Amino acid sequence: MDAALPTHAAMLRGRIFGHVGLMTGIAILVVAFACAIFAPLLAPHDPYFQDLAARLVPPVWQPRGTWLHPLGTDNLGRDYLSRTIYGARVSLLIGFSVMLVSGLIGTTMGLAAGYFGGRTDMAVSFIVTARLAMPVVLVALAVVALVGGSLVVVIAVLGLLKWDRFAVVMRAATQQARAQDYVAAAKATGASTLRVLLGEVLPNILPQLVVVATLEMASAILLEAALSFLGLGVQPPLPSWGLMISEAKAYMFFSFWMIAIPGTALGLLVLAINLVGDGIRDVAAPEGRA
Amino acid sequence: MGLHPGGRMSPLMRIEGARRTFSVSRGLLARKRTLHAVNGVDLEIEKGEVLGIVGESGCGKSTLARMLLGLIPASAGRIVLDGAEVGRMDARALAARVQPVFQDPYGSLNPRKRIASIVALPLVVHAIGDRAERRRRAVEMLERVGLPARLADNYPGQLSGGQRQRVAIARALVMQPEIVVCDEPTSALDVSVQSQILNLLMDLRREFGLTYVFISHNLAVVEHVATRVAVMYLGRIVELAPAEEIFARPRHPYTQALLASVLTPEPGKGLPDTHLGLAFPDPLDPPPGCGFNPRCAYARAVCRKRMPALAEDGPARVACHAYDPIHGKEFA
Amino acid sequence: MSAILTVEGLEVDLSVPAGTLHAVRDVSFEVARGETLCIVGESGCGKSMTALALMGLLPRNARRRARRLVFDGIDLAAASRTQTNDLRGSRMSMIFQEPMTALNPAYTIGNQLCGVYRRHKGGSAAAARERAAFLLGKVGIAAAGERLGQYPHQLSGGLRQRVMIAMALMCDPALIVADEPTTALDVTIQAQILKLLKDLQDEFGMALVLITHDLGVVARVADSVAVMYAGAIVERGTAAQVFAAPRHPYTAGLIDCIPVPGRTKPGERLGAIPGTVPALVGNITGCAFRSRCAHAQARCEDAPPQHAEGGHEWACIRGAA
Repeated sequence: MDAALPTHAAMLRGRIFGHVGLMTGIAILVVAFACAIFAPLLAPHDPYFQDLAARLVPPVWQPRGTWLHPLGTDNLGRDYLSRTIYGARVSLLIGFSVMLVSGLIGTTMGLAAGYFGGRTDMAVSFIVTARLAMPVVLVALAVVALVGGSLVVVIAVLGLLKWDRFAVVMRAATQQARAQDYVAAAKATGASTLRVLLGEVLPNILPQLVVVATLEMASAILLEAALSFLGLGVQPPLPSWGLMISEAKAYMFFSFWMIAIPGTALGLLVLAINLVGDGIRDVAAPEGRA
Repeated sequence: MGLHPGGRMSPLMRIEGARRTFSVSRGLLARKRTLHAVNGVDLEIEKGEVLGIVGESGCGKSTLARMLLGLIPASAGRIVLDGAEVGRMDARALAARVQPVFQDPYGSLNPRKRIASIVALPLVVHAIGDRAERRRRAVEMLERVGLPARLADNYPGQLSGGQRQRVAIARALVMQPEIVVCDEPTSALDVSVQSQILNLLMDLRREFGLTYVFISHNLAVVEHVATRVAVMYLGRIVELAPAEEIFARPRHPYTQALLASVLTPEPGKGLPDTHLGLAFPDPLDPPPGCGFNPRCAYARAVCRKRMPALAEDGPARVACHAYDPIHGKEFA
Repeated sequence: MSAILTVEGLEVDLSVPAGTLHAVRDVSFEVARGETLCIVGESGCGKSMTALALMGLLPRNARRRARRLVFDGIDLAAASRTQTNDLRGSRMSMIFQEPMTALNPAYTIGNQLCGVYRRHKGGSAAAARERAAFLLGKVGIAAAGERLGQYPHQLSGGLRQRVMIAMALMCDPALIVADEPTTALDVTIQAQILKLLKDLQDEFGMALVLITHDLGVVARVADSVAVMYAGAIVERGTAAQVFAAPRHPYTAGLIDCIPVPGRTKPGERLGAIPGTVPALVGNITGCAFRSRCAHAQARCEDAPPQHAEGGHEWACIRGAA
């Protein structure tokens, strides 16, 4: 123990940069975020501009492809690359917003249930069970039928429905952390319940929270795509990857790339988010008992 | 030095008929049952003493420790600190005077916090000093318990078990409490580290005039540190006496069995016969009468019917019918 | 006395992220039939790894080497996996620290006891059951027939450890390796279980290798003692030799650390060994204890000389007194 210990920050840095999955995920996410933020600068065309003379132009690597539209155009002659870049905005906005709303609801419920136990736990468990009995897509269908579909409605519906996994995982993690002696020691210093929860319990369940948050974000992005595909999510002409796939389904047999391009973007983004979640969990584990 | 139980000074802490029950369900469909973890304990803690509490797992000693710390409220009875009832006191007022040291130095330190901020937590909670002042006091206390200041910015995972236990002791002492409740403070440590921690606890007691409640299953350790010893069995105190008395003349058959079970490093002595039989105390299903009767070699009919009360016998108090003026004759 | 187990130059290396950890370094000892050898040391000294190496139960990242590893005339170092599997549980068996995790919660006591027996000895179910009931009686469990139908969680910790002992005895082993068998138990139960083990040893004549950190257990149970520090045996001898006249400064320091009723004075300072165990990753030269030793000299940087005196052996620059 007399040898100088490597600093915590140095060890953490080593673990982050040594983690291939995490670095890959971060790289893809950085690209996606850049697309979302700088879409007007990156997109070669206006994503809404319809050039009816140049409809269904294939991507550049196919015969008839042109560098004017590297990823081709859709059935209304809109530039596919520009629409894909703008589509990142919708996906990330929905993913983040839904994760924040559902995370806040679910984490609060899970923390309360796990920490206080007893009646609180019973009440939360009941609400979770009731929520799990509701099919997300059917509820979304009903809501859209009532108020009409839009970005805000999608966020609200998914955010208010998808907190169940947060609640379940946070409850279990809190129960585990609550039984630790450092929680008892903090209580024995006279610390308030809020301080114990936020200062002692939360930092120790953060890795699990991050993993659930990434899973939920990825699943919200996929759900948005599914809802948009069914015509229940964001409405045209907003460029959403789900909507693009939906609009392309009629041309699936002649122009497969119209589905493949937004589908690949969706798959890569979801993969990247999951890689980052797993990576953070690996990296954030406290130094072992060595 | 600690005062005798007979001393006339008013005690620092008084435990009066303290009970704690838990409801336990065994399986999904079984009905809930009541576990009497602490089942009517009367005890006084005198200023400056080291009160050892010994007993086997499930005897209620750790529950009692957590009751003294205000972490578990009593189901019945009272715990009084200087005239104020612990259950009704402000949590911070109690914390300033009573602090814990737990058994597992791996579980008792938050793995996500730096050592200095773990030790400074009580100061933060009590809003003492600014950030720099708190850090200064935390580092000072770390050095006092034998840890170099350079460890202040490390995380618990980078420390050895003994170093962690020193951090836990520093946290307990940073507010300068009067009573430190040590729940098996050395049981998870290696022998060579255990002796260092015991030496440290004894030094700190002299330096700060501390009172210890020292809970352990290791009688050799308790004999070394305690001035008075309470033996617990199934939630009750079965014997309470000054340390030298209880180790020289154990009265309760359970105390005798516990002492006989201590394996001193004396080769050639062989293994003791404890005469205890196979029965093991189940706090969910305590036997009628004296809780110890199924394991007791001296048990008589009365032991299976009536619970003996804690009665004076010389300098000791013992809960056994054999020391009862009326029933005692049966045991002759 | 003929040796049932001969170990010479046993080494266990673990590959860990930081490199190669030398968990057991050049360990040699012999156990005679019916003898009790206690291997004592603190956490991380390699005593459990030694036990696992004997049983062939090392973790995946471990490598075992030995100049000689002979059990009952069989060369374990050269034995095939099937041969080792046949020996393990029958001629040599192991008792673990945690009886709750060592017994399978999904099977009854009877199933587990009989399973071991029939796997190694074959025979009818009735014969296995009879043997199980007989041994449960031997380990002091009454109403054995009824107990055979119970699951591990229905028993107290002490009873579970008795069942583990019965299981270890099912196939009449010549050697039992017990790793901290009483550490998880209460003191009164510990005394009972150890006494039971010794009584059974007298009756069935098996050799016992007992791994423990508790010097009290060692003194009361051992015929011979091996003290391990940082992966190596630093001192070896009979219990009387080691406790009455410890030769290695580590053994002496360890004995000074524990409070002993009647010997240490209550409230007085206990002995202490300053510092911590050195890291065992990478090459270790010289005496591993020198950084904590009050008698350390420049010579301690070289491999410590071996001394022997009437069966009492130790590795230190300090010779006989």
